[in-house]
Parts: sequence; structure tokens; C-alpha cells
Amino acid sequence: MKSKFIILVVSSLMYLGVACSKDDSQVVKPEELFTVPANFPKPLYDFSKNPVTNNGFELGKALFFDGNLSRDGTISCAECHNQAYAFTHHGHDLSHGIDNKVGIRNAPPIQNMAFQKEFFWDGGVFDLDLFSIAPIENPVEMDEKLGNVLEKLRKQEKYTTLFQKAYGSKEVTTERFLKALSQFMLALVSANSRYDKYVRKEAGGTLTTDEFAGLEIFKQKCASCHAGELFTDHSYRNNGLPVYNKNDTGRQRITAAGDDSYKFKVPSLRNIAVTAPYMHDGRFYSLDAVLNHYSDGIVESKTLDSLLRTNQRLGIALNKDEKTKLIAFLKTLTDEEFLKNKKFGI
Amino acid sequence: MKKIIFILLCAVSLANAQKTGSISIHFDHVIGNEPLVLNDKKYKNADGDEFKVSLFQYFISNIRLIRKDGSTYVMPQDQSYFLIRESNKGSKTITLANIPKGKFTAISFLIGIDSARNASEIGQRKGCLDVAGEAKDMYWAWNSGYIFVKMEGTSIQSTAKNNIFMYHIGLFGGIGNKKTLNNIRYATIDFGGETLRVKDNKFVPVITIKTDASRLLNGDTNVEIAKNPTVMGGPFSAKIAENYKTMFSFAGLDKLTTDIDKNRKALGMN
Ligand code: HEC
Ligand code: HEC
Repeated sequence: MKSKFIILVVSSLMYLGVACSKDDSQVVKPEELFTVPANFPKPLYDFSKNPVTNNGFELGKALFFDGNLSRDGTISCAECHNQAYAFTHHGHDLSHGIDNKVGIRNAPPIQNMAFQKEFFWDGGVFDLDLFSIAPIENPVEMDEKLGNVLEKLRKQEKYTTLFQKAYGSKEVTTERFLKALSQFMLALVSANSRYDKYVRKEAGGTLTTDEFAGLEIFKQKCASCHAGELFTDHSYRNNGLPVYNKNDTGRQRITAAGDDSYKFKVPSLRNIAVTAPYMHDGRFYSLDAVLNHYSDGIVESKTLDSLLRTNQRLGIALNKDEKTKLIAFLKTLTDEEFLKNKKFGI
Repeated sequence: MKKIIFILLCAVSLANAQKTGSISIHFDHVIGNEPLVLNDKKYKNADGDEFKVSLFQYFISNIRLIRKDGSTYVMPQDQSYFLIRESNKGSKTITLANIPKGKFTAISFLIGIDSARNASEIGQRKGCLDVAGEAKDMYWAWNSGYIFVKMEGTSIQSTAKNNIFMYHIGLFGGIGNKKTLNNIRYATIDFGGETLRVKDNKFVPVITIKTDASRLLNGDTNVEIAKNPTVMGGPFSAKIAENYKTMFSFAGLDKLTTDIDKNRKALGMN
């Protein structure tokens, strides 16, 4: 009921946005761009300030795939956020950017952004519309100035036309640029995995015995942090990884609070089978390695999460059979429709 | 119909002319008793470290004028954000328009950007707050928020690469459950018994405020450049903010004509 109401509000807002742009040539079906899946919570993004429209989405998509957003024209957002791998940087533990420079973190998937309130592994950005400045200006990612990017776009007819279509005039502003990128990312909703169909009792929503057993184990042993339909409680926690990079203290870099040291955002596990390598620094190359970490690899520290320190034992008790079942379940979170949706590619 | 509008417009502007005026504020940047000269001049801080300054700039916002009786005039917030840069002469004189007529004895402002605007949506960030424009070097993208005060330079005492020092002070307290340091500070500058009269637009009073950049380094905490050559966030940034909240002082009140160029000349700002 709730989510239906939101869909209505969002789509009527989107309708308004389009009505203002005086472009009647487009047949707009806003629900094709953003809808709240029936099993999802309320979106946290405020769509009233940036309704998703077809033309806004198209502009955002063009920007997302354009190397001109980087200093030397070589690195687009899509370089590190590849659709086939749920918009992650396939095969890279730490992301590789301009001049082959290496960052300190693993590129997370871009999916279901409307349901996330803070961005980055440390949550340093609290508004998706403010996000894109960071990779563009990061010296090891795209190493460009946002002002220069806007200048480059102003000189291209392709973009003045796209801005005209999206916003009703050719003007290229900071706000329009950032909001268009948000529109593209907001439309990246992944909610059609076999697990989703199972939850929503839709056709194709069957789980094997092992997968079902895995789901039960997951609920018991993992869902306290990887909670709800997004598989995250949006909190920052230390899940007991040995520290490889002392300087990356995670959430503490943002809050300067000692009790936040080495805490990172609990990531969503949707499409997890295709987003290897895992963890904030991409240290694990397989789900087996992740589970071995939880069962045998947890290290003690001041900020280790108390959930991983129960019954006088570090970590989560998991035998081989349980691990196999867990992995079988995690694989049901892959949403092929999302990974292959042509709308999201160029 | 047109006539009526015309008359109305005249009436409105007449009323405005009678009720409000403008003032200018000129920021005079110094290091202690000496003028601030970028790059060339050597200074000493309280700790005895020698240093040169290559960049000095800061935001002020949320300006209020205070009357004798303690009541205040609060400037409309949208018109009260200013980025003052030593490297840009024009930015060091700001004009506040539509101030109600009256007598004022002090001014106060926030050093930096208030938390609401730090958290506001991108559409509210225009002019000097445009993160792709004027504010491009006064914004942290990785920990969303504006830099309030920025000073950079060199010091032989600095242990950083090329002997540089960098003080980038920001952090507005964070939003929601995200608690960060809050380095927002306020300055109140009393006109030392003088009265600022806002009358009409023929004469624009000019308040000169001295900004002593050395106050980043000297104060409750005397900064040893060797120990803290770069400060951007982190607990030490609060100490620098505590220091610099005293960097503004009253340096005079002048009454000048509306000819801004003449004013500049008269103040030796050219
Ligand atoms: C060089 C590789 C690289 C490029 C180019 C890049 N990103 Fe990223 N992206 C990353 C990494 C690494 C992270 C995680 C960084 C962190 O948490 O500190 C990330 C994180 C994100 C997130 C946050 C996701 C979350 O769940 O918190 C979003 C959104 C995002 N990027 C969008 C973009 C956009 C839009 C662009 C283009 C303007 C872009 N990225 C360009 C590597 C890249
Ligand atoms: C105490 C909270 C907590 C519990 C319990 C927990 N996790 Fe995590 N999980 C996290 C955090 C925090 C991270 C990110 C850590 C980092 O990168 O530093 C994470 C990361 C992961 C990742 C990597 C995701 C990615 O995109 O890189 C996987 C996979 C994962 N967990 C699976 C599980 C499974 C399966 C269980 C149950 C056996 C589990 N987790 C239990 C908190 C938890």
C-alpha cells in the first residue's frame, strides 16, 4: 500500500517535470524509469527536488558513459562501474583510474541508489546529487575540475541539445549536470532476481532445497547486519577484517570519532555473485573466501562488532555444508534482467 | 493599466529609497601588524616559525547588524554568503544592499557556511557557493561540506613535502546520525563606540575590518608548523578554528559616495 502511494507521488512529480519542459514529442512512461518494487522499503531520495524524466535519464546516461568527464578524456564513470558486473569495476580489487593510478577502495555496485542514504564505504557523501563531484575531482580517478567539465559540455552540440531536451533550455549548470547523473543512477533499480520473485510469489520464483536452506541460515547468521530486502541496515561496522591499510580508518575519516575506526558501511548483497572482488578493499576474490573470513578469519580489535564476538568465540560458526547452502542462496540474488537491460547501456 | 503599474513601480522604489540604504565592508588582510603580502614576505608566528603565505581565503555568511538597543537586522540569508580571497581584490570589498535605515553599533557573522546550507540541495548552491564555480577550491567532495577558512604557504620548519603548510578548516557538524566536528564559529565586531548610520544610497558607509591571518597560528593554541604542517579535518582543526574566531577586528568607519571606484581609490584599494 505504502509503496503504491509513493509510486503515484513520484510518477505524478515526474509528469509535472515533463509538463514544464514543453516537450510533447516524448511519450513518457515514468514507471519504466523508477518504481518502488513491491518488496522494497520507501525510497530515501527526495524525488520532489529532481523528478526522473526520460530526457533527464538520457542526459545522465550520456554523461555516465562519457570520458570527457575526466582530465584526458579516457575515464568515464562506466569504466569503473560496468553494467555486466552490477556497475562495479570487474576484476579490480582497488579501482584503477586515470594514468593507471590506483585508489584505496573497491568500486561498489551502483544499484538501488534511491534507497541508500549515504554514499561511499565510509558514508562521506549524504546526497546522491553531491556525489559525482568526488570521482570527477579525485586525482586518482578522473582528475578533472567540475567547472572544466561543464565548459567542455557547453561546447558540444550533442550536449546543448540533450540539456535543452531535459531542462527546456541549453544552459549547462552545476545543478543540472549533477541532477542528470543522479537521474540515471536512480533509475538503476535491481529487484528482479530469483529471490525477489520468490518473495513476491511471482512466476519463476522457485528456490531449490539448498537455496532455501541457505536463506534460512542467512536469516539466522547474517541478516542482523545485512538486513531487509536491501541486505543492509545502512550502519557502519567493523566485521573483523585484518587491517591492511592503517591509514584507511573508514567511517572514522568522516566522523573523527575513535569508536568509528575501521568501520565500513554494511554493503547490500544484491548481485553479489557478479561483484567480486569483495570488501572495501577488494581483498577477497570469491564468496568462499568471504565465508571463510566469517567462520575463521575474524580478528579481534577495539571496534569489532559485538555480533561477531558471541559465545566466547570470534566470528560466525559455519560448517562446510552451511557454507555451500549460503553460497547457493547468495547466487539467487543475481538479477539478470538488470545486468542485461539495454536501457542502461549505450 | 500600464500607467498604474508604472506609478506603482515608482511608489515602490521611492518607498525603498526612503527606507533602506547600502553599506560596504572592506576586509584588510594583515599578519599581526604588517600587511599580508602573498608569496614574497616572510613572517614569524608565536612559536617562532618563519613562514610565507601563498593563499588566504575564507567564507563569511549569515550577517547581522546590531543596533544600540541590542536589536538586530538579519540579512536575508541568500544574500549573505561571501567568499573573501586575498588573491582577488574585488572580493575583499563587499556591499550589502537594502539595509533598513538606522544606526548600528556592531556587526556579526558566521565564519564559514552554516550547517543548513552545507546540507542543502545542489539547487541552493549558487554564486560563491557553486561547487563547480567560485567555491571549487572551498569544498570537500569526499566528506561533503564547504571549507570555511583556507591558508597555505611555506615554512622552513614544515616537515611536509617542499616545506609547504596547508590549513583547510571546515566541518559543520554533519547531518542525521553522522556526527562530525563542528568548526562553525561566529565573529562579532563592535564599532568601538562609533555609529554606522544607514540613511540613503547617496552615501555608503564603509566598515573596514582587519582580518589577521596569523590568528590561525597564534592564540589559545600556538601552532608549531613542524608538528602540524597540514590540517584538514581531524581534531586539531577545532583548535585552529578556536584561534581564528578572533581574527576579525574593527579598523574604521568611513562615509563615501556611491561611486564604488572612487571609494576604492579613497581606501587605497586599487
Ligand atoms: C577510477 C574508478 C572510478 C571512476 C572513474 C568512478 N568511480 Fe564511482 N566509485 C569508485 C570507487 C573506488 C568507489 C568507492 C569509493 C569509496 O567508498 O571510497 C566508488 C563509489 C561510487 C558510488 C557510491 C556507491 C555506494 O554504494 O556508496 C557512486 C554512486 C559512484 N561511485 C558513482 C560514480 C559516478 C557517477 C562516476 C562518474 C562521474 C564514478 N562513480 C566514477 C570508482 C570509480
Ligand atoms: C556484524 C555485521 C555483519 C554480519 C553479521 C555479517 N556481515 Fe557481511 N559485511 C559487514 C560489513 C561491515 C561488510 C563490509 C566490510 C568492509 O568492507 O570493510 C560486509 C561485507 C560482506 C560482503 C562483501 C560485500 C561486497 O560488496 O564487497 C559479503 C559477501 C558479506 N558481507 C556476506 C556476509 C554473510 C554471508 C554473512 C553471514 C554469514 C555476513 N556477511 C554477516 C557486516 C556484517
